[in-house]
Amino acid sequence: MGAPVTVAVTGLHRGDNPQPGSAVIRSLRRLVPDLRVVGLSYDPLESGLYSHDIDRVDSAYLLPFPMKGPDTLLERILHIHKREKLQVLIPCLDSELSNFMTIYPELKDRGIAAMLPTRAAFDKRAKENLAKFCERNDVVGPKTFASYDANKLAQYAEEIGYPVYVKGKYYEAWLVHTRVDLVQKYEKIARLWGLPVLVQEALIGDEYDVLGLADDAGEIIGQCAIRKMLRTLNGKGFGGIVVNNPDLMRTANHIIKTLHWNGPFEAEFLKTHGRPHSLFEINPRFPAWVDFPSQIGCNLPVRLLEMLLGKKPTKLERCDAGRMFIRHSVDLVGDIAELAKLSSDGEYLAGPLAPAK
Amino acid sequence: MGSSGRRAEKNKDNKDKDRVSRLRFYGDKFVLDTVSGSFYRLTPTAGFILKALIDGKDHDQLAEIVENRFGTNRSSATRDVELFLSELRSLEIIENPWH
Repeated sequence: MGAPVTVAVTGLHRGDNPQPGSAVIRSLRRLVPDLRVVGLSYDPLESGLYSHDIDRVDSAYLLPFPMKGPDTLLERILHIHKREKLQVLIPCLDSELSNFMTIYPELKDRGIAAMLPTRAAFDKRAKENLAKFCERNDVVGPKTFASYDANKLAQYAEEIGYPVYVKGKYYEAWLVHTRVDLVQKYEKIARLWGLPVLVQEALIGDEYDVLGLADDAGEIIGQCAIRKMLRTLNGKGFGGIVVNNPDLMRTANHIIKTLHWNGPFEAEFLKTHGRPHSLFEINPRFPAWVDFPSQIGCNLPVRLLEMLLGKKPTKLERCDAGRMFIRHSVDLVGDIAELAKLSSDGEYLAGPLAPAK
Repeated sequence: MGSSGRRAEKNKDNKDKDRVSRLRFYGDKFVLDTVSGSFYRLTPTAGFILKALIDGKDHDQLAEIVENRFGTNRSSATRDVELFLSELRSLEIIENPWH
């Protein structure tokens, strides 16, 4: 790819609810081994900071939490940019996207490239607006309502019929069977993720996810569809198998085209018996399993990098039905000295934390 | 059954043939549905019937070849085939006439 490129990546924690950042770095280094990666983190205990493998970071910086707003984020990113000369930014968390979209014109002016959706597309696919989007665009989706009030949410739940899912606007979903459960979870989610809180029809079936990358015309240029084979109690996919399902792909194409989506996405569907795939979420970023298709010839993070840098595109292979992944957890060795440095100074410049001995 | 009924039945068999072509066998005892991503372990009879469907045998022929292959009588072969086809419909692998 020529001279080494510096890329900043967020979302580096690979716990029981894994974030995508480390998988994005892993994919990038598969084809661009000399990449310089700046890890942007919200917590010095994000596990990816301690990796020595190909998903390692070359330096790490703490970011202000998204609730601090875009101005604080801009100030921090510009400070990091002064030291690191960032060329590309790949945000990997839902909760930070809005701030990055706000400050992107300033970043672009300073030579930092990113591929972010438009505000309109981002808002249309927001969890609280998705049901309306589905209704208006002939997309099947579960009944979903959003509310700023627990009693109103409980009324919606009665209308749908229990059990229902109570969901946060960014993360977290709980299956509840009673009004008491619902109010408890409403309060928990509202405290953690803010308002509104959503209530959603509980569809019982298999989960299908389509991961893709769309260009600025809303055309999907690469994609991979899976059925989640293993799901944690929180519904996180720890195993998946590629499917070749023309109906699902047609639906995903229709959604992305209609949204005029630009950049990475993950569309999540539930399939119940005798009904079409039902769209229940669109995540505005690569998912945590993005390195799986990268390993079978469909490296979408690299394609994103090539698009942002104006490089010749690497061919994307079609993901063949039957290829599968199983997530495998490993223990990384850390050292309290590096943790102390990152916690105290908010940055660590000497490669991955806790150098291997 | 009139000629239009037979035509409809033939069309349904062809559609089922198209649908079962999405199945990928790994030996005789394991099959993947490449469209749904579901996979199944198979009994010898189930594997035999599935392969016959993929080969284009229509539903009427299945009982006959099961009878010949497994040396069972026609009525129990017919019952086995119908039960199995019903399971395939419930898995949306072949067409459900009620949808």
